[in-house]
Amino acid sequence: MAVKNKSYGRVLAVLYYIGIVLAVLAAAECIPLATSVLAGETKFIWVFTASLSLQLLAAAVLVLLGARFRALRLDSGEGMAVASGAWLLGMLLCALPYAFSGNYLSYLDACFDVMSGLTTTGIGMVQDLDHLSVGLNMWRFLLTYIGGQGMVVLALVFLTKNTDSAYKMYVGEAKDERLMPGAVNTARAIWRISLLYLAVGWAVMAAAGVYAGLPLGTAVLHGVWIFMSGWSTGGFAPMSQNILYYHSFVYELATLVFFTIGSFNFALHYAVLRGDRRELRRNIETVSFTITLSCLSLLAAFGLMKNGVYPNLAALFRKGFYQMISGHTTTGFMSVYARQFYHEWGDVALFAITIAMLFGGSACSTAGGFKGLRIGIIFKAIGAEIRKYTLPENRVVQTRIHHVRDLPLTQEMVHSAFVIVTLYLITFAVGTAAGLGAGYSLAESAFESASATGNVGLTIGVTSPANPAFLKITYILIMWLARLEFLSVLTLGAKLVRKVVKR
Amino acid sequence: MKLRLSFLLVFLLPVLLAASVLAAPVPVTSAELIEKAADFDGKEVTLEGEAVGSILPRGEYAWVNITDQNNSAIGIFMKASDAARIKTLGRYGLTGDRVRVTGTFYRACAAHGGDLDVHAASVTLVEAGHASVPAVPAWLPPLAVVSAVLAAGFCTIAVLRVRRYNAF
Repeated sequence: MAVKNKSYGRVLAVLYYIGIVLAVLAAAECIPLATSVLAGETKFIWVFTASLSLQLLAAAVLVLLGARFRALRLDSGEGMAVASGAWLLGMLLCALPYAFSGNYLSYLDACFDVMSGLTTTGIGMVQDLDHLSVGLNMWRFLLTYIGGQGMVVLALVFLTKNTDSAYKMYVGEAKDERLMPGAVNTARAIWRISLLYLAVGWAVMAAAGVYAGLPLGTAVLHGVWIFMSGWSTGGFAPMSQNILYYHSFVYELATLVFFTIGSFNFALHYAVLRGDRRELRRNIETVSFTITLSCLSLLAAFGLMKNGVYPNLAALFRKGFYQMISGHTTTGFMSVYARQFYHEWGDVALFAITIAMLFGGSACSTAGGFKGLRIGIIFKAIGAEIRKYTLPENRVVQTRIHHVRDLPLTQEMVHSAFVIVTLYLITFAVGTAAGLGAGYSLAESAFESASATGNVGLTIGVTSPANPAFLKITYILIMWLARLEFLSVLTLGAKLVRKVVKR
Repeated sequence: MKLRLSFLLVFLLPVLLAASVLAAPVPVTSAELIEKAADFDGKEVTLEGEAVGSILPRGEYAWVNITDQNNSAIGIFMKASDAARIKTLGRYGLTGDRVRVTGTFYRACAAHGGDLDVHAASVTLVEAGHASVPAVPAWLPPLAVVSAVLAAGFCTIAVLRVRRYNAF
């Protein structure tokens, strides 16, 4: 009985921490509410008041349930359960403003957009985007910004103690870099870095907007939204044409800079901001990213030039390279229409961009995909394996990688990299199969699945409110699994299954 | 003579009218332009849609994005004087002016970094824009008030409960 009570208490402790994360998300909803008040959007003042209250109510109930057990030390599995549970419940509750807005055909579509935003994917189900309320747009981009840094990471900022449980939850959200001693201090450092860039990025994007011809007020609003989306490698934009709406090379260039920086590891940012600029050139992730981006860009350029898709080099850069780097950093900003990929790009360029979307950005960043660190480790391991057979048998060579500091390449690192990449590939295959099942071609299904698996947001035109429910649910699950790098969600699933089996 | 005139009126006039209707360019949709971009590339097209967002000036010209369907807008490169005739642009609470544009379609415009766009030769205002503020659903304010009261109550209890356990 005592054992049963203990287990019950641990579940309630998990619920308590989920409640804390939901409360922080609810507090964030005050920003779109205030935006709607300022913009005089009466309907959306009610929408956000109702949604915020319901979110707070759910959070308060969970906190009440688990308050007694909050001092329990969470183990790794429970930390992961907090992260994955908070993301799932967060999706259901953050979808309320969308559902109440009338801009979504169903609650499932609203949930899809929230998961897409929180995971910084950027494929969407919204209706009539060009007439969307300012408040609701603010919520879309805020969700992307919060999701990019991590909603658990945000909640940790408000915790006062650097507890062991805090670190378990931090790891559960697929971030494992310790920028500073303790998870709470690391979470605060991550948010400090992001807010610093927000201040700079907002100003730059607003200036680029004015240069592109936007009225000042619109340029300022679009500036903060596009920065939040770009920095978080999100891909949402306030207009239906995405980045193409601005018809401006300068605007595209500004977004390109910020989403590339946003796809870098927070540990790299921290090192560079502390004055270690050499890290930019030496880090295994920037090296790996540069090599894969160069190779895949050349391949895509070859494919596009072979098919004569673009009339000159400027167009090849603004369309071909922009889409390639947008895909590789898992941003998903688009300067072409979705169906142009399918009708015009050709197999070679589509293959290159699909691979780029799967490779993704850096670990412990806002980006998705396999991550540069793992790709670097895998290639180093392959190199070491080849060297082993080419050198004399008695010669032992230790392979090292440079990631903030020099590290020996261990079997554990290689094993972990292979496990996660394999899980990504299985997920990609499942997503492709789902697309095929819904009647799309292999190229379309693989492209869209890579986009969902890498949390990218580029679309070939598959994602739409007209999709069958099973495809939408499959993509939601894929985005959730991939953002949390599988283990948290799989742990939550295993725990739930074990509870059911025990009964 | 009279007979000839009657013949002309009865038989030729309808034929001429029908011919003129058929000769008038039938507007294409933005979806058609995107799906069959290669077929329309470099050809004269006519499309009709609502001007949305902002007018983006480019010297003597300007970009105006027009949408004819949900989430499917196309950039129109037009003379600044034509753009100036558009008074209302669509956004939240506003339906923009509806315009008919005839111009040359480019699948990947060499002059504009490969944009899929239309260079307008003529722009006609079809319908003036108007306010379209969405109504507040009747169920929303009561839901907001009830949930706000409940949330306030539960949050107060939760904070007190957490403080109580902190005391031990």
